[in-house]
Amino acid sequence: MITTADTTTARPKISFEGIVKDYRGFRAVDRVSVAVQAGELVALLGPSGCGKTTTLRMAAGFIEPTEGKIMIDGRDVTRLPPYKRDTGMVFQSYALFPHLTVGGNMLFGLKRRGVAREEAERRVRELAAMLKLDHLLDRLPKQLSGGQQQRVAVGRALVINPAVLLLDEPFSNLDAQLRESTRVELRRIQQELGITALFVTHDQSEAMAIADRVAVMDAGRLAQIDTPERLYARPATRFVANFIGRANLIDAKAAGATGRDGLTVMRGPGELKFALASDTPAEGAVVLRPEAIRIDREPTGAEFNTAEATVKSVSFLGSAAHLALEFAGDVTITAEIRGSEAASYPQGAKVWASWDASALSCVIN
Amino acid sequence: MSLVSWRSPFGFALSLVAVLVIAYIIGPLIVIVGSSVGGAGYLSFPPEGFSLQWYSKLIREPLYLNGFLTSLRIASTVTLLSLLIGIPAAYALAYRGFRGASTLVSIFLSPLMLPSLVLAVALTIFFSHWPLTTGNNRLVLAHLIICIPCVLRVTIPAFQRLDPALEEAALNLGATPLKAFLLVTLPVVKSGFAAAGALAFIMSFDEFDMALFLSDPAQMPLTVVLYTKAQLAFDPTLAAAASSLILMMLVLMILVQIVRMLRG
Ligand SMILES: Nc1ncnc2c1ncn2[C@@H]1O[C@H](COP(=O)(O)OP(=O)(O)OP(=O)(O)O)[C@@H](O)[C@H]1O
Ligand SMILES: [Mg+2]
Repeated sequence: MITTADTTTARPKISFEGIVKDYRGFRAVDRVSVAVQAGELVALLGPSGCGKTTTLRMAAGFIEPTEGKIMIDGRDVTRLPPYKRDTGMVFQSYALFPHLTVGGNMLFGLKRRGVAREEAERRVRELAAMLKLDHLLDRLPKQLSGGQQQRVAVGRALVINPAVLLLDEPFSNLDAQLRESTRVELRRIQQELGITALFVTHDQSEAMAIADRVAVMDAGRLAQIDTPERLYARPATRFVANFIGRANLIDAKAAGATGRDGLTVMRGPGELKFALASDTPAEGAVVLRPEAIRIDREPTGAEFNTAEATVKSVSFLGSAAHLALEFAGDVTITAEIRGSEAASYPQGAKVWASWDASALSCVIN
Repeated sequence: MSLVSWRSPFGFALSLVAVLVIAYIIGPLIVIVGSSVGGAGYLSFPPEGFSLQWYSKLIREPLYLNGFLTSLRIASTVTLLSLLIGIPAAYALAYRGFRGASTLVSIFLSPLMLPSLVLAVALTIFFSHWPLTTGNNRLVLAHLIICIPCVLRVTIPAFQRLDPALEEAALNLGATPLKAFLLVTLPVVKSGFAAAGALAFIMSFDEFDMALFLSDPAQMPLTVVLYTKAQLAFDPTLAAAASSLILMMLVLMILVQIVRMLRG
């Protein structure tokens, strides 16, 4: 488990400390520790069945962890029932109360908290305006479009001003276009109100686009938590490298230093020699992103980070094209070039591929 | 578009069967209602002339009126108790869900499979050994045995259709489990309760086997009154009583449908 040290010393808004959830011999969540700072949006990302929903539901109090502690605002809430926790949840199915109007749905939580009628209605109107729901307050949920229902679900959870907003794949029932605009909108409101949020998704581009930090989960474990940029540039495990974007993973062994620049050399199969920033393991896989590869007709003359290859196949994608490059030692690497350059590198062409040391990272096998 | 056009040979055969079955079910009812409005002094079908004399006679007959009121009292009590017991049970069995819930449902529904005559005999023996209660209260208990399963059968699917996240949303917004049940779960499924209540009422009101064995002879329910009368002489008052019963059930069913349609 690799986590980056928190740069802030402030008390996290919500933190999971070594959370475990066992289902009769099956470990759905395995020693997960995550701390979310006030105003931060953290995405829980991972493939289906990796334990994202289970983790989120433990925060809301619907599932009791087998081991570990959950703190909200410095208070241990691990054994508190859902209605005594200060969380607002947006369900995948929205779970709007079908017998109440939009206004009634949004008032529900405020009434349970004993907020005075006038004050409650003012807050609902205010938030409804922000979510562009003000003209829909008297409608029943079934009289709304999917996108409107989604906004009501967010509004209902936000109006109680929860310590943490919890969202379980809130966009999965929207079509692709609406999903993108809703995502931007949610991010805007979250930042405007300074809401702390935990967001579950299995869509890596969604996670990268919306989150301050992304927690990648793999089979119940936290694989890595970091900013989207660092996650992409410095994946900690093979799984993360593959799950976030496209990656070429080339097995390599450390082979001393370059002598210059303080770079470490790692030898791959055949003639592949990588020079990359230090702190690399003795043995691992070098992560080389397809778009980091440059293609030339001539050798670059450099000793490292370049090699000769044969174009095995070309797939044209419009703005970009993917070349499958075969290197000596039976290694195939995918490179991404501009679509307009695809014609210059037909199948069978001999080319030289090269990349920058800074574009490389290395994961342990 | 229906799946099978009635103009095709298969569709025509289907329609024919449907019409025959409906005629078979409705036929006897038409005979009873028809003969109850006859002008003759005896039971006849098709009716000779038209008169409501048997209905006016029915109202003036205290035995029928008492029977009706007794049945009404029993059926109302049974309906209320079945709903009070059946709805929370259905909620626990279907919405909450726990291991063995489906087995329990099968056990709870099994009285519906039993011929009520068997239940009647068994209960008669039971009450002679353990006289828990007296009079028509025994009949109320007996009817509960079949009416609670009936309520379960109607409300369990209603609870099953309910999104489990609804109650969780209520809890998340700060409602206690009781508040969540009362403010969200109950209002959302309640349209199913009208149907369940009507069914329990009808089941109790026109139940005969157990009523014959267990009811208080001094306060006979309507079905037993009708039976006793029919054994003496089959006069048109009987047809009028039966027709009234049919009409009542019909009105009840239509009301339930209207309630359902209004709820959408
Ligand atoms: N009540 C339960 N009993 C047994 N196993 C469960 C239960 N709930 C979840 N699991 C298992 O725990 C694992 C994690 O489930 P979870 O719902 O958290 O996955 P997820 O990451 O949200 O996946 P998805 O993206 O498909 O929603 C799964 O393998 C699932 O089968
Ligand atoms: Mg999930």
